[in-house]
Amino acid sequence: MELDGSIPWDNPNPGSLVYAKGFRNPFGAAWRKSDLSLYIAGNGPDVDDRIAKVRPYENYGCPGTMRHNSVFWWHHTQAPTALDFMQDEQFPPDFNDDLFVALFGEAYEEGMGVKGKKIVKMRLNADATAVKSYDDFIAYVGSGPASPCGLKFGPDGLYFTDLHGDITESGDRTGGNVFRVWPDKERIGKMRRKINRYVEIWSEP
Amino acid sequence: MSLFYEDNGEIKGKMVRTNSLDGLKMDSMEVILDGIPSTTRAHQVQAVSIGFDGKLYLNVADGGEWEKA
Repeated sequence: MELDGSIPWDNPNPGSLVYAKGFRNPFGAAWRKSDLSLYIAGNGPDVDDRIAKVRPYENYGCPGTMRHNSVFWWHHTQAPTALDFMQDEQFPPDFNDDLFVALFGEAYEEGMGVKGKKIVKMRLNADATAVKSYDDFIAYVGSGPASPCGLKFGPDGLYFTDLHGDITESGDRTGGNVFRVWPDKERIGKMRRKINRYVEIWSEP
Repeated sequence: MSLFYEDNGEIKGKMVRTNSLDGLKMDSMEVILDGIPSTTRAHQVQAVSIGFDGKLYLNVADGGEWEKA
């Protein structure tokens, strides 16, 4: 829609605000500079949470399937919430255009849990139809019910929030928190591209 | 910002525009879109974003009812 809520003249269905359909719970949204596209993190029913690239006119399969037109899905649900791309040099160049996703896990699950409670990092393939790599970036290791929920890059790092609060080592309950993850610029400034036995890597000299 | 509210016993979603001078409290609130069918369970109006085309995008969920997706 336009910023005042009115319907743009060139929307896919004239006179309708609907840009794309077939989502179930498209929790988070992030715009990617490298293809000027919107990506969403969606929660599935008992299976199949997903990441999807949003295209106009497209149907994303719900009700029925969470897999249709998805870039990636977790068959065992992890509850992805917010997501964002590293696209403004907040992290070293090796992270450029990587997608970070907060995985909430079970609601009010104390301890590390078996699902979610992580922030993961993905790299998409060239035409954004699949994921080339998937790594844990941050994982909760405490004993409290805290789970990551909000996530967005700021000018100076990756910000994320938790819900439900934490339990400190002395047993006190805390509220939610806002966290920032940022690189050690001095250390990174000394890093160089190096060829090790197999590949070119970004590393300390 | 997406919110939900109660109107004559019906739960609805809306999107509002706000500003804050000190970053701690809202100094204005203008309704951009309201009357979006919603629920008190999860799966309500979700993320709000602005695209590279300068348009406003709102994620709307199924209200926890798969058939209404």
